[in-house]
Amino acid sequence: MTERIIRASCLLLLLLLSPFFLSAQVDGGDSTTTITINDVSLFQHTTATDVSFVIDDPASPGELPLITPAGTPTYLQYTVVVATGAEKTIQASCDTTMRDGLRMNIWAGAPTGTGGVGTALAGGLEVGTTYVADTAVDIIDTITSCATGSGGTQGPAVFCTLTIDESTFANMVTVASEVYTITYTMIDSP
Amino acid sequence: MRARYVFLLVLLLFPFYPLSAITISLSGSWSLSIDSSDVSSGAGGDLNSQYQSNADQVSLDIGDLIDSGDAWELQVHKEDLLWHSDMILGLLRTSGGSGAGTISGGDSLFLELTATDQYFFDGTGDRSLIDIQLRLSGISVVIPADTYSTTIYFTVIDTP
Repeated sequence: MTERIIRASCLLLLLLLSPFFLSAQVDGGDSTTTITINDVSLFQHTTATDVSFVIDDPASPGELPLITPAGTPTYLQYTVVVATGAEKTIQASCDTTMRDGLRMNIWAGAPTGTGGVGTALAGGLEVGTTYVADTAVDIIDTITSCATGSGGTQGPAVFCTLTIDESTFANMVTVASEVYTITYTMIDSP
Repeated sequence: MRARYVFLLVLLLFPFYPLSAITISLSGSWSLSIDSSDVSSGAGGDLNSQYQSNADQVSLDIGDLIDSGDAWELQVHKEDLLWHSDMILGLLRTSGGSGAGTISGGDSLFLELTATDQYFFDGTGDRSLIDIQLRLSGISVVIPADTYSTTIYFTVIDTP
């Protein structure tokens, strides 16, 4: 009886161990893959031509001078990759303080695209617009990793309008022409 | 009587012991840096979604098989240190290497790696300098800037 038990045990052990020896497994190699995704800040403004404003006679005597054109949208296009928690802001600035009697406004439409394209700001001196002086002002903030698209009319539209500033209109004088340069900048948010 | 069965057991196991001597060795790793130069369509466009390593980025040797007819199978899996769920890492065997044995599979489509072992290719006998190419796909701007790392583990199984 004992001999049968020992015999059966040996056969069972043999049966259990055989696959191990018949199908040896070796974990012998490993290779590391490291992917570094760097910060990306690519930004462009689609202005095809400069915007020219003409200040001319009003439609009727007694009204404020007429400014044309009313404003044509251009587009901001950007590709941003940032670390988790980081944000970018787009600012606009003008190289010269606006002449008395005039107010230039820059504002952005709602950004579209993939990812965290940001939020257009309503603020400045007028609701929904941003007054551009010689200091930079935010026009789109809370931008995180995103791509707005690079087609002709993709990305947030930006509008530039020139209006009469009634508060300083009394000091307005005629001038042949003046050039103002608007600069858009993408910065790291604090 | 008991000693006879122990002897019999050792005798029966001994012929199979050399099968476990199979070895695998590997060289090569892959480091990739993605930056603004990978936005091929310019500002506003997305990052290129796919990147490939050199065809011989990783080289494998499988050896110490009993003879050229001794069959084996290679399995792979990855273990992430830091990885993004959108990123897909794939492997392709780009050469069969050299040696007395044979090799087949793994050379037509990239195998997408997961955390569990998958069959990659198989063969018989010793093979050396088996080249492997890596492919990273699924990249886009929604993946935060960071350094991601994973380790690919190769396991060779001496099959009956």
